[in-house]
Amino acid sequence: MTQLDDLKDAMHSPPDFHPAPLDMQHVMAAGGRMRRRRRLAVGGASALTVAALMVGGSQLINPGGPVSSIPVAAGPSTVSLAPTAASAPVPSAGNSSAPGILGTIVETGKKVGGRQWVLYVETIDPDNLDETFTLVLGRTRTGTIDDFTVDIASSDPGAGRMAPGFHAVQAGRSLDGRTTPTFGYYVGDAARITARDGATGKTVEAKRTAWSGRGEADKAQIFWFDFTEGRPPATLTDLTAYDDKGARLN
Amino acid sequence: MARGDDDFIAFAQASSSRLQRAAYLLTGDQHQAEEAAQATLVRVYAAWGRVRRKDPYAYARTVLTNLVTDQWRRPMREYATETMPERQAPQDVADVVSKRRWLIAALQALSPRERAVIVLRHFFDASEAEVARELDLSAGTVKSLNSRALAKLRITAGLVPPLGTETKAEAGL
Repeated sequence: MTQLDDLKDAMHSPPDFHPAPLDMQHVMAAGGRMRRRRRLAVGGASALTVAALMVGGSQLINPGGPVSSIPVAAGPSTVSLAPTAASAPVPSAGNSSAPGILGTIVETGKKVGGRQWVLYVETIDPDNLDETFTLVLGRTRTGTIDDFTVDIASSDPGAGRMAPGFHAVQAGRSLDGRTTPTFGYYVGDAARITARDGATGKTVEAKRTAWSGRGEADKAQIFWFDFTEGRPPATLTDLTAYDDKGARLN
Repeated sequence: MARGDDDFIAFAQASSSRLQRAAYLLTGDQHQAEEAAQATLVRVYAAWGRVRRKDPYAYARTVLTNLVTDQWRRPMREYATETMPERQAPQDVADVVSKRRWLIAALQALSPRERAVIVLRHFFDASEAEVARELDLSAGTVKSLNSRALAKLRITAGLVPPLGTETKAEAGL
């Protein structure tokens, strides 16, 4: 018998290890919830607050909430740019080896290299989203969570992440040759979110998806602006939210 | 009960022990191994409609390995070490358990990447191409990680380990 055989034997019968019966009821309940989360729900609209955004290197101003300004782009405390094709899900509170993805996953329908851009929320504590809500732009080939990449993870510093207003806004950019959308999330009842295209002066409207966590108050809208893969991202300014009557939200 | 649930339960029962054992090899911790195996089966169940007619076991293997080894993809997470545990010199050459214990300890001293390659290649018997695809590594990287890890484990196919060697201290001298 070779040492390689010894290794295989040892791996198949490791001393001091005894498999435990797993809780199949829990497995199927949790798997069922995960399956339902993957059936994406797009839509949702409501109303409130305004912010002004200088996308492309300056600041987002959020008068509606305690977070008075949110650095955009490469603010080290709020932004992490993962290496290409990195996959680094945050462990959930309940399972240290599971990704802590919570709530609806937003499919953009935009693909690059066979992978679709998706937006989703990660948290290490679903009961404390105000300090742990992180919005992630990633890509997926299969649509299953274990296949998600983390391309841009964006969050506000500290607490106040569920306060009314805009949060975690990231300007579109070229990342490893891939064009990313301008995206973020909004807490409040916005019926419309718009920005101004710096090149054309035209107003463009964001696509929005209602997002909710476990708690009654854990609601937000994940938004992103349309873009063309392979072309430089538009420079957007004046990010603004409107209510259902067309009034700017302050 | 949803369609296919019986199949899933049968699959889970048949693969649970092996997944836990693999997770234990990857994590070195029984509790984490149970958690990881359970989290893997959750994902397999979530994707059961898609994977049941393909190769659910290969899917589970991929999910498990990626769940456990995702840590290495983060910056500053590589805890590779060149220092391996001292080989125990068993009193009895036939002390299989002691030898296995040493091998498992040595496995834990590998870097996460090396350990994943070893487990996939030599526990799951996956090919180099399968390992490369499942870990999103190049075939060359898999080959070199495998060689390096086996070297650290002091394993050369065909060589019988010198298990009978006793140190002076252990021999009571």
